[in-house]
Amino acid sequence: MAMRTVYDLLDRVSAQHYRHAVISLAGRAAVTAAVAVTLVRTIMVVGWGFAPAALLVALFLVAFATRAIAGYPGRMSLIAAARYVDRRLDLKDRLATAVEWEARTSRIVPWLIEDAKLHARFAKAEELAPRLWPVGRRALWGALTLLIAAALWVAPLPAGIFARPEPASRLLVTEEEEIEAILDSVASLREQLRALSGGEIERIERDLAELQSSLRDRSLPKDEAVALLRHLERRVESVAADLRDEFEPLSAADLDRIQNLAEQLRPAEILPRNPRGADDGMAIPYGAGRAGDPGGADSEQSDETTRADAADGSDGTGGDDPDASASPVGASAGTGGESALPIPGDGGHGELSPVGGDGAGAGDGVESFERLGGERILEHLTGQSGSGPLRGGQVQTSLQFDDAPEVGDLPLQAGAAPGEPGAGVLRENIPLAHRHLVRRYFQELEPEP
Amino acid sequence: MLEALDAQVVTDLQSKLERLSREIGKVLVGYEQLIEECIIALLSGGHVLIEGAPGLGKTRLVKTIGQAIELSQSRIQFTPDLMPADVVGTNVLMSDETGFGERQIRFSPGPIFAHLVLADEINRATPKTQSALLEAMQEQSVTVAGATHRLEQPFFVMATQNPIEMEGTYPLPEAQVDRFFFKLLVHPPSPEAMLKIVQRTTGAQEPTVHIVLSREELLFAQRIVREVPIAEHVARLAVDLVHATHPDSPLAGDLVKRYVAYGSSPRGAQTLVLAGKARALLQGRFNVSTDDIVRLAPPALRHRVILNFEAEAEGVGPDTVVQSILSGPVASVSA
Repeated sequence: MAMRTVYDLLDRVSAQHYRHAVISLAGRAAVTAAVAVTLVRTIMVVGWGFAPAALLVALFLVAFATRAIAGYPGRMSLIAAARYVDRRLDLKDRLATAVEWEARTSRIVPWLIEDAKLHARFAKAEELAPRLWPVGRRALWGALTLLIAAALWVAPLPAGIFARPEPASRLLVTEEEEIEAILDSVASLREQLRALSGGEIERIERDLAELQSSLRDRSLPKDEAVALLRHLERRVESVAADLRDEFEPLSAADLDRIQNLAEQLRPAEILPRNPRGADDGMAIPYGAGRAGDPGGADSEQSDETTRADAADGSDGTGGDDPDASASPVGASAGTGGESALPIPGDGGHGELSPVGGDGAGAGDGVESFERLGGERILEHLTGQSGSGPLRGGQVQTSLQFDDAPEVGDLPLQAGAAPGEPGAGVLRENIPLAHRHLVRRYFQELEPEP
Repeated sequence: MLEALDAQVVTDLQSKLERLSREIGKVLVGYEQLIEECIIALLSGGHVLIEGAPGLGKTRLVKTIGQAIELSQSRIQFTPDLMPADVVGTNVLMSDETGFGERQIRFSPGPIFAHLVLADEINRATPKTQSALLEAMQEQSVTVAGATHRLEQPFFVMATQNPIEMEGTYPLPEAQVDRFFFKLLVHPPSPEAMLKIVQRTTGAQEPTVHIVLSREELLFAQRIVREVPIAEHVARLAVDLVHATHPDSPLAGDLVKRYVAYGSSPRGAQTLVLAGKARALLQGRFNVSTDDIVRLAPPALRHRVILNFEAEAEGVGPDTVVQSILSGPVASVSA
């Protein structure tokens, strides 16, 4: 064969090109498969929150095989190899023309073949190997693609946009655990409260108890319970801070003042006329008032009491007795301890103060009573806790305790919901942020027991 | 299989062609590309239309080629009153030397009967006269009074036209322009080339041109050129380039679709291949390469691409269109 030198060169180049093409194809197929897997994984994670590894592996293999089969290079023909060598060595199409024209008749072709052999003799197949890796813009795009793919594997992705909600049973288990944790926190807080005392502490304790019961019967949503618990915790902290500030030693003036108050509050004569009075009397708070109380008919409070009775639409304070308007009982929603009080022993004909009332701004009321022939004398001390003025007084009543109704049966407050103060709030559709305030409002309206 | 050429013959031919370029270059400085294209056209048996401003050496080029190849040459200055008979010749009544003998009508050949014909300012003649010349170029013969007279080979016409004086001219029709193998543009020489021109032409002795190639050797070279092999992908490149000049071709680029009215005829592809063969031989190769085709595309296609009015309005020339084709995907893919 005249062109053995040329054909040997082209054979070596063709084989080498094939090897390189296969290796390069494998690399490209791997990159393609990796990109495909990355895209699918990203879509699955973002959409449904999971991407099974087995699926990704299978996808990688399929993508790799598809790309490899589609791009399988095959082996170069002699003409293609000759054109490749011509291009790489700038042989001006000598080899390609020689291969193509070898069998044709021309007076020039022998010289062409000699020329091609001469150039092929100095060509080295090893120097004609194609690049395994792309260069230039293709390399840049490839590197950028791989970088983005790697970032998609590493970067945190939003997960489960299209995922179905978790099964209800699983959610319930989780919520039960969370409610139990909240209950533990409530119990812990109540335990802490035992070391403290005071009106606010008692209210907090009451709220905690209510919260606890609501959580146990699952009538309170979890989120709302958490919010209430946080609020109560803040209140406890606030009260504890106030208590720390108030623990100061009494001065001599304070002691004198207390002594004076004791003198004023000393009862002139309190005789137990009713042998069972102590038990019953202690069981009935003053604020509950009594229907048919004959005393205090001239009290200025009567008008106010009448108004309160009319408002709540009941006969709890006035009853059928024509003198009921003089009863101090219904004044529980009055102005607290600001009224002038009659002095003890004047027959109870004074202006009555709503001693037990827990109206806005009212301080701690301290009352006691004893029965005296169907009547009773109430001693009470009203005022503002801390530095406010203190007033003492005594009221004589003729309350018949035998007929007195139970406290819980009386309609105590106009518009108040039955049951625990503010309990109705929990059943109303009130925004969570305002819920506590609304309930506190009703609690403030509620007289002290 | 034909007997291979003697190595010495081929080697001698290639060296003589190389010397021919150098010999012409002694007179025409700075026109190496123009000289090469003229020799390629000569080797291919084609005619050349040279376009350039006056004084750039067009006539000088023809004369120098004629001197270097030992060919007969003539010059026809085309004017509006030039008649076809003035070009091709005419029958005249002739008597013997005594004037009393038998009178005969004899054909008096015109200036076209030469190996090298310089048709100066061809666009100044009437279309009728232009057609007489162009028909002779195509047919390699002239017919006068029913008698056909063959033109002696080699027959090579170099027509010139001045692009700056268009008033009173008769621009060549596209169909006749297509008969020119190449359309060459003569640009003003560079300052360095002009300096050499001044030094060589203003001295006491002008450079002398020696005969390098005989008429027979030129004819032999023309035959050898046609035997130069060309690979299929190279020939396909020539065909694709011509196809790409047609605005309705799928190979046409945006510029072609916008500015070209008619693309090149098949003569364009023939020219590309034949010129490529001549260039390969001129460069000492025995095959045509894609580089040859790309290099020769502008002179072979620029006068075969007919632009539309929009191109004229926007000042887009045929060279711009051809270059856009060469820089497009057709040339790169085929190469």
